[in-house]
Parts: sequence; C-alpha cells; structure tokens
Amino acid sequence: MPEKTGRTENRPANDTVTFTLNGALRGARMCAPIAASGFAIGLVFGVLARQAGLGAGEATLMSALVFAGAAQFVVMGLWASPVPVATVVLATLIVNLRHLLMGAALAPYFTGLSRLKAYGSAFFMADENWALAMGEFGKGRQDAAFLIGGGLIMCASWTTSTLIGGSLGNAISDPARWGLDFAFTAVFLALLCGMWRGRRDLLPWIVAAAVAVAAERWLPGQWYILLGGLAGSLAGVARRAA
Amino acid sequence: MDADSPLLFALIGVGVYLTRVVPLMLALRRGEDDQGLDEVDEAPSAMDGWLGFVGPSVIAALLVAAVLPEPGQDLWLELARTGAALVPTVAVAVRFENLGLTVLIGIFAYGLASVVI
Repeated sequence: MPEKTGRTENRPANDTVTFTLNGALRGARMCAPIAASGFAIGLVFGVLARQAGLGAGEATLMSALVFAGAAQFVVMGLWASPVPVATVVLATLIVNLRHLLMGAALAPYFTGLSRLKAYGSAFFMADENWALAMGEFGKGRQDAAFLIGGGLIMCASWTTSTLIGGSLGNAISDPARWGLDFAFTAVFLALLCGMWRGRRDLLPWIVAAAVAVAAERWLPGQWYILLGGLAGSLAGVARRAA
Repeated sequence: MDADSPLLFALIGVGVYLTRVVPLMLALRRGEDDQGLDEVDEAPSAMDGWLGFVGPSVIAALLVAAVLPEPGQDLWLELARTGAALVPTVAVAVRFENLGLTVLIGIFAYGLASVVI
C-alpha cells in the first residue's frame, strides 16, 4: 500500500464512495439555510435583470441554464444593446475560473461513480454546496449525492426567486434608489475577499484596478476588464518570479 | 423575449458548466489511468500559478469600475455614498465570507446612505 501524504489521508477508498437518496436529502437539508438566503439574492437579480431589459421568463431561463449567481450578476452589469457577446462570455468564464480548482478537488470523492452521476452532479456545483460537501467528505461521510442534493435545492430557490424578482421588476421604477445597483459592487467584494491569500495579492489587485480605471475612462467598450485582468495577473506572476 | 437571448444563455451555461466538469473529468481520467491519487492532487497546484492571479485581477477590475461614479453623476456625492456603504459591506465580506449576506448588507447600507447623504 503506497504511503499517503497528509493531503490524501481523508480520501475514501473507491469502494466506500456511495451515491444515495439519503445523501442527497442530507445535502438538501444542510443547504436549506443557504438556499433561503440565496432566495433574497435571486429576487435582487430578477429585479436587476428586468431593469436591464430582460423579461421575467428570460431572467428565469438564464438562472436555470447558468446557475451561477456571481457570473449572472456580471452579465447583467455588462448587458447593453447590442449585447457584447464575446465580452459577456469571456467575463463569465473568468469569474468562474475558481471552479476549475473546485471541480478537480471533487475527483477523489467521485471516483468509481457512473459518468452520469459524476458529471450530472457537476452542473449543480456552487461555492456553498461545494464547501459543505468537502466538509462532509473530510469528516468521512462519503456520499457523493450530498453535492447534487444541496445544489438542487439551491437551484430551485435561485430560479424561483429570479422569476418572482423578474415579475416584480417593473414595479420598482428606480432600483438605484433602493440601493439595488450596489449589489454588483457587493458581489465583486465578496468574491475578492474569498480569494484573499495574503499581502502578496495586494500588488496585482492594485495594478488591475489602476489599469481598469484608465482603460474604462479612455477606451470604448469593456476593454477595461481584459486589460485590468491581464495587467494584474502579469504583475502577480512577475512578483512571484522576482 | 429576444430570440437570441436563450442561445446566449445556453452558451454561457455551457461555458460555466465546462469550467465545473472538465477538471473533474480530467482528474477522474487520471485516477482511472492508475497514476495515483497524489497525481490528481497536482492538477490544481499546477494551474494555481496563473489562474490564481487572473480571476482576482479581473474581479478587481470589475469592482473598481462598479465603484466609480458614471459620467453625469455627482462625483463627490456618489463617492460619499459608495464609501459609506463600502465600510459595512467590506466588514461583512471579510468577517463572514458569505456572498448572500454581503450583498444584502451592501444593498441596505447603500440604500441607507442614499437617504442620509
């Protein structure tokens, strides 16, 4: 038997991975409070989507097909006529780059499952149910259905609240007056705080912000996103190499 | 409904799903190839160098653009409201690292600041 490192000690042997209804129900129960708070955010998203020109049905369809709150807020922040398709798609992918690491981290707990179960579960992977699932797996409860159970209740809450928010959207004539526009700022702040790894992050973030401000003022369209991201990441890589 | 919107949403949805499923597929495939679980562990760390900077940098760019007043707005009034709302929002974001709570507090704080200032 190969010697295990500290990072692999809690990993299951393949024959201990299960995928049961009980596991899904436990995931749904554990994620219910998060789904409830997500309901309020979904209402806000629905209102903002309606104000951006989407119908309630369109906003709901988006929530059902994408199921990624932060990415959807980013899309609404960039929504214009005509829609800058390339910018929107690129920005959503970049906002979800963290999923690359999260998805890979799930692999030890999905080994041995059918592709349908493993890849189907991945659609319902959000930050919150992923974190709870990793906690569960780390404690030795290795029912992989926990992820999809949590994701399903969160997706149902998110989609329903988007529909309600989108339906109410026209009743709120000036969302800025209610502070709803600040939702975008708050989403970005929350994401950044979750990514903070220490003072070494400060330089790339400041460079990204400075370049974005300059580009936003002097260049048309959404070039500030790409240029800011590029400048910040280059600054980070350069600092690491120095 | 705009005829192109469902197509665009599907495109975004597929892109987001791929970011979730492709690393899982690759890691599972590596595991099936009997190269050991430790190698599965190396996939995130190998990507970490570049991805670790791109995501936060882009979000920093989006954040600063969202914070700055738009042309035509009263610059100092808007900065005062935003600054006042940022204080509790940052505090909640740092303390709880919870997206939903941060958004709700941020909206409430900005709404309050708009009434007071």
